[in-house]
Amino acid sequence: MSKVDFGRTAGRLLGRGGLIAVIAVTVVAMAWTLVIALLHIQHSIMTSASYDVGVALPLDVRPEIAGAAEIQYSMATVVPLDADPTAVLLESIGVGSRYAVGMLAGLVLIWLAVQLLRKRSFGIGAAVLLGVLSVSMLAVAIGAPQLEAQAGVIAIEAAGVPTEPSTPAYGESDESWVIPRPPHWQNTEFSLLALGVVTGFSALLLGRASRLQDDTTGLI
Amino acid sequence: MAGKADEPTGVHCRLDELLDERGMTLTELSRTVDITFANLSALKNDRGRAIRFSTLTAICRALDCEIGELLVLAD
Repeated sequence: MSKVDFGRTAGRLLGRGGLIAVIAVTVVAMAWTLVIALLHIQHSIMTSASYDVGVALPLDVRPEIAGAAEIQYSMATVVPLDADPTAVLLESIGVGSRYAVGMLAGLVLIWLAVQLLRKRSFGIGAAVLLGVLSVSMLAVAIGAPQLEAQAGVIAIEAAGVPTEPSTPAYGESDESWVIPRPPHWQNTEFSLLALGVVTGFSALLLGRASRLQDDTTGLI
Repeated sequence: MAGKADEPTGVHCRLDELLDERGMTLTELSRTVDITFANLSALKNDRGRAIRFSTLTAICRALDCEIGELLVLAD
């Protein structure tokens, strides 16, 4: 099936009205996403963010039990009174990037629908766009959770909460300390990662199909 | 930049001349050989990149000509 035929087939399946409906719904969804994103970012800037941390119990470092001593901790939520600007920035980038990739996906969808409406083919341009979307999805899936975790570490450290045992010498510490959750690969958003991989493969297939199509363009 | 599809093929299709000689229109030929007007138009204007043997024989039979009369090397 040629690119033109594909466009015609897709056009027939969806119809002109269907394509316009897809564009309209996507525009509304994008506008809604933009509003939610702005509210979310504003909320994270205006209000103090909360961070889940481990609260370690005082460490017993007496010589007779130091070798067998284990850190015991429980989970707690810390809300710093004064937000650290760097932490807020990282948090905002992390939150904003998720919405941004959603907006980009909407733009790509609109572009594809407009191409079909104009009876244009899906060529290299579509493959490149999908490739950009795929890379963005992968970057956000991996990067955004890391940024948010790093923001938590910075915020906890900036709050002046002890993050290490206060009495490293022999004797029993009398102070608890918190263990912030550091960035970890397990924080990766695997659903978005999978979507990015699928989109990437789609871009590669579309690019390959476009090259194959070029070889047979004009076949009568 | 001209793409691969825009490069000249070096083949000229004499469909226009053959149709004129036979007093036939492209629309009539399209109906006779059951090939879309758009495709025949592309062939006539040297925009075709490849042609099926079945298309070639159908056109030549409809125009009562040889393949060599239909397709010639471009100058």
